[in-house]
Amino acid sequence: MMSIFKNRSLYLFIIATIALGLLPLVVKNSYVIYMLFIMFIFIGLSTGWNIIGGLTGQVSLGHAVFFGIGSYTTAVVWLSGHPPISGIMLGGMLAGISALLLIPTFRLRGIYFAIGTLFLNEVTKQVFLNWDAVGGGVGLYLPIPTVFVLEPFYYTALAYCLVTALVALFVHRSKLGLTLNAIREDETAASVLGIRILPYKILALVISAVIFGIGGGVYTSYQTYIEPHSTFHLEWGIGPVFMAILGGFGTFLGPILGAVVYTLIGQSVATLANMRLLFFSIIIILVVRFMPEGLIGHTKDLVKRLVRPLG
Amino acid sequence: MSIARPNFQLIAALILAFVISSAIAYYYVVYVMNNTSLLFAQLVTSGLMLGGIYGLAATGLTIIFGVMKIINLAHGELMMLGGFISLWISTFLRTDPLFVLPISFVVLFVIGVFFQSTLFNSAMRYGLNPPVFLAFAIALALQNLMILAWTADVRIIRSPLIDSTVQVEGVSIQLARFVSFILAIVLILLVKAFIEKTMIGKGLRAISQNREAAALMGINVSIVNVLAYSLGVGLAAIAGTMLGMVFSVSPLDGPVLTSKTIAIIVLGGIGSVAGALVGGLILGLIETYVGYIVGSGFINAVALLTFLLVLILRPSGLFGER
Repeated sequence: MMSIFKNRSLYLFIIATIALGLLPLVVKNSYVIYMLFIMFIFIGLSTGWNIIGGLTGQVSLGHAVFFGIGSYTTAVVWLSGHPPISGIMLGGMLAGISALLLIPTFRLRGIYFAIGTLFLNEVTKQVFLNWDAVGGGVGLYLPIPTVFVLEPFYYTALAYCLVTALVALFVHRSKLGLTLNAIREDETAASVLGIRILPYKILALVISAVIFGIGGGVYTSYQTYIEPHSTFHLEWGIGPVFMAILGGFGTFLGPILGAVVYTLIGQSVATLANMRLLFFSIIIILVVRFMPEGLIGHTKDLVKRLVRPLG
Repeated sequence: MSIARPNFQLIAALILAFVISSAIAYYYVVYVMNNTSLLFAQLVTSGLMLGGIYGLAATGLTIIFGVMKIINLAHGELMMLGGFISLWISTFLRTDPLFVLPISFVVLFVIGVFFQSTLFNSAMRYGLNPPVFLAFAIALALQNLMILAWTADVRIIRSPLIDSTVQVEGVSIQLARFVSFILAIVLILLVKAFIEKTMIGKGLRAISQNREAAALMGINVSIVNVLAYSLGVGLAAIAGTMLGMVFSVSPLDGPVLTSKTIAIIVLGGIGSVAGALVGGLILGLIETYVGYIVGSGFINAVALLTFLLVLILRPSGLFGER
């Protein structure tokens, strides 16, 4: 396991953990803490999406469905009197299991998987809207804590974000990552080399679905009310895609950088309310058009250009 | 988009599927729910007429895929945009939306030219995924722009000319549906003839078979790309307007329509115009049955189940090549 930490990564990771862990002791501004809470969840989601979308090249547009399943599981478990953390774990598992529904879409190459996920999200939303046992279209009211402190949520999200980053780092640096990359680059070549494509695609999908399920649970533990339209909102599936594209598709650091930038921009244009998606989709159109490698790719270029005259 | 040779066993299977699904639906509607068989005839007519409009929208999508090898994920939104533009122009000019159809087609055609030449043409150079993101981002942007311009309300495009109902053997047929259906079928056949008979159509087919070879033969690939995309989008606009005359248009309907049209072309075989028409008719029919028997909340699940079943049983679709 430790072999995945080459050179400086380990130190960087430990320093980041300690710094972010101590932050709430220093910063008492609850807006900043809340923004970081959202940012951690976004980082988790975008790195999770990147495992199937960026690394394996199987673009999913409806990952919101796994987020929603995790979210609803947490709510139901919580309301039945168990601690939310068990709901979060169960939600991750259920999200992973429901991902298996998409296996038929892997039979053909190309865009079928993306369409399958979009479909699954839409249909699951309909199911939850018509399912009276979980509140139907009215939704579920969650227990409201008597004393409200933000810090526990902050630390939960931080733990989620760090564990996800570790998993992603492991996937990127291990043989698994190389295999997934090979599948993305050329499926035929990969299968000629003896890689069995389907199990690996399923594995990558399940990992990312579990990450989304847990992310949905962590987010829901902070909410007081959930309903199908907002829980299965396309934005939960599309936001992470945008973050990954913005930062750098298929790299490890890209989605993290993308999530940070997305959160910062998102908070500063919060007054746009519903037009936020319009704003982001225009940004993505421009990014795809003018810098298809994302921020990471261009930062590397920039660094190279700056460093070359020196050495 | 090569002229697929339809497999006759498959067509037989198709007719069988029609008959079996109709028989099951007939049994339910007449014997379990105790309705008259007249109501069943009504269901079949509305299903087929809805299917014609679906088929037209799917034809646009299938042309775009055949040439550019990308699925236009903004198709549903462009349909709705076409519908709203027809609504807007017909209200503005105080004419019947039926006469505005060509204008709507041209407007969306121009929008298609713009998207293709400024965005897709360059994104297509970076592989298969960037155009997908692009189309999806365009879909989201369009949806939100339409909400901004026309709010998220559901609108009906009223056409005074054909706003009546005729009775045929006790089955009442809305004239709007009937005219839309006929128009859709005629347009699909025209497009099919255009692709198979004209020189430009030959270019479209050549590129869909082998892009490099077609370019070497002197076909201007980028112009044909623009043409295919714009034609597909223009057809979507007409289908969207018809949908507004028969049902309603709303910016929020876009994603569902996109997924339905995709399910149709997967069912019919991607790249086949005949497949798009037949797939549309089948989906329209089954949706109408399910909507009546099970409930309208489950209509959208039909498209998903169709999509998954086709991928499991016959990934190349009904008319597709293996």
